[in-house]
Amino acid sequence: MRLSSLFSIAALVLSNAALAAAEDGANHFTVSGFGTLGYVYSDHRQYGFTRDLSQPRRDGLRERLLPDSRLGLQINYRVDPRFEFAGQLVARDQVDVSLGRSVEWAFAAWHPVPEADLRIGRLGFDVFMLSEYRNVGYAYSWVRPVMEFYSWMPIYSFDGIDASYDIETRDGRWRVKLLGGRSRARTPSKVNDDDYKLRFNPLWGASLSYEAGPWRTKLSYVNVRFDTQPPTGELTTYLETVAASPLPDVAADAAHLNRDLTIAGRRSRYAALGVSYDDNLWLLQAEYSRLSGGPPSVPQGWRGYVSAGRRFGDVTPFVVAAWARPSTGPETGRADWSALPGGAQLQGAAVMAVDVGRIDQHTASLGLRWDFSHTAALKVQWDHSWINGGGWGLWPTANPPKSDIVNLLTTTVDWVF
Amino acid sequence: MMRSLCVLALILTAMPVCARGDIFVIVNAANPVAALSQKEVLDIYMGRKRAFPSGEYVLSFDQARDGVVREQFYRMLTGMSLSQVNGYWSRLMFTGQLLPPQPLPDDSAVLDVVRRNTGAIGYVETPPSDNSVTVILVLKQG
Repeated sequence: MRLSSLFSIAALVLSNAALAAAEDGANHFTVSGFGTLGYVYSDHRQYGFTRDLSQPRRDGLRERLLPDSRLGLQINYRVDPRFEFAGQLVARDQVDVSLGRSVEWAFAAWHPVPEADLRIGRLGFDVFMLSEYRNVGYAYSWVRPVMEFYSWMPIYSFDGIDASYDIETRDGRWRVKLLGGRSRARTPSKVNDDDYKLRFNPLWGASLSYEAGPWRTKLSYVNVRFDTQPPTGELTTYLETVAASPLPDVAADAAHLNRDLTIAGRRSRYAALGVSYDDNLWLLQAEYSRLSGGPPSVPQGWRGYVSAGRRFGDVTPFVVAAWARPSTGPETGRADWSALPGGAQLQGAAVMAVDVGRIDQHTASLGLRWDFSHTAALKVQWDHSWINGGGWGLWPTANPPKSDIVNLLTTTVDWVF
Repeated sequence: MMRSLCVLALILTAMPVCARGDIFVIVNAANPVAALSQKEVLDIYMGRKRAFPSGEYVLSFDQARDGVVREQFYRMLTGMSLSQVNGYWSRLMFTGQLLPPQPLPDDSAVLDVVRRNTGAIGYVETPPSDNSVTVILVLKQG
């Protein structure tokens, strides 16, 4: 679905909005928005900080203000209770701040029966508890979605179609959802100044959720195929040359490393389970996910977190413990390349290129949310992260020496309008 | 005057200090629904149900966003504060799943729109004096 054609249909329908509104006294056209102003301080100047893998590394004040700050604007137009258009524009710091990439979603929704929902266009990627509201700080207690669980995920939205159906039971409600389409992402390279343009096509998935009283659970599965090969520059050329060399062990190792760097045409699978509980006093949430398949340069492994908070009037203190563990070992050279001139350096560069996305860390967080108005909240959070050697995938640094600890102190103001 | 004092107190203390009376949940007189349980109204106002038991699609209306009536309504219906209700809806609406009930300034605006739309549901603080709308639930203060 072309975004432009969706917009022109929307514009056509919108022109009738005022007329329809006058007839029944109801407002069919809604403009709303959300924003976050954040300031993050990291005690480790060398490693920097980015909120997720779509952000470039910044320096100085920009590094502290830009990662968590954002502004979103949303337009909804309800033609009738069965048919609706919606669009959302989000300005946030990312490698590519073009209009096309700032359209978080733009879709037409149809409810043929009250229990069913069919959407087409650019859609939120609804496969975890924070489904499509990662950008809406006001909707959660933390200053940002849990880093271990959410930061690596480059897909915020996809172009395609999704369909859901609700089944009401005596105690709760089940929802089955299917989605399919394609998506793109841009992420800065850590090894050079390039951006990686990633394309995921096809991308499909399914989720099953259940809500009953204070409980919400969600089980989801996604399958993506990498459609493009990020540029590895001359590395690939060199590796191909070495792979053709007469030294059998070295040639095999070079071919192996080259394969590990190839992502085009390969598939990854993502499975997740989330549970949350909110009885207006206690706020508990836990998620677990596993990413498997694809080459080692994709951050395979499991991630999870447990979060607990309690409301004291307008103030909600909370704690979070989060883990991200890789399922692939760090890449090591399988042969001695020193017989080739510059061989050891080339092997080192290739090993680093494979390992640079590996994520191996855990974090303990402590924070406070204060709802100082009905539409705005002030939050403060301290994150204490242990990063294991060779597991710096979430940090904007190409060559960290070893295991280390990073402390982040963040404060945000989040609001909706 | 009383109301503006209440609003002022609400802003200053962020607490529901001005307890008010009952709240009357109303639908269009042409709507075959005669009564709804608190859970059914809750499901409609929390966006969990898109239609009345009769199958008619729901068009739901709120009172003023920061007003006392809305605060009281959600407190009695769900036990949630306005911040929690707004947080809940920001989760649903900014994912494009659903729009929250449309806010209207006062009782007369709610009555007016409920009279004009067969699928409408709203709530008012004064009991409706005529039969152009049906009271389907009374939320009791206390």
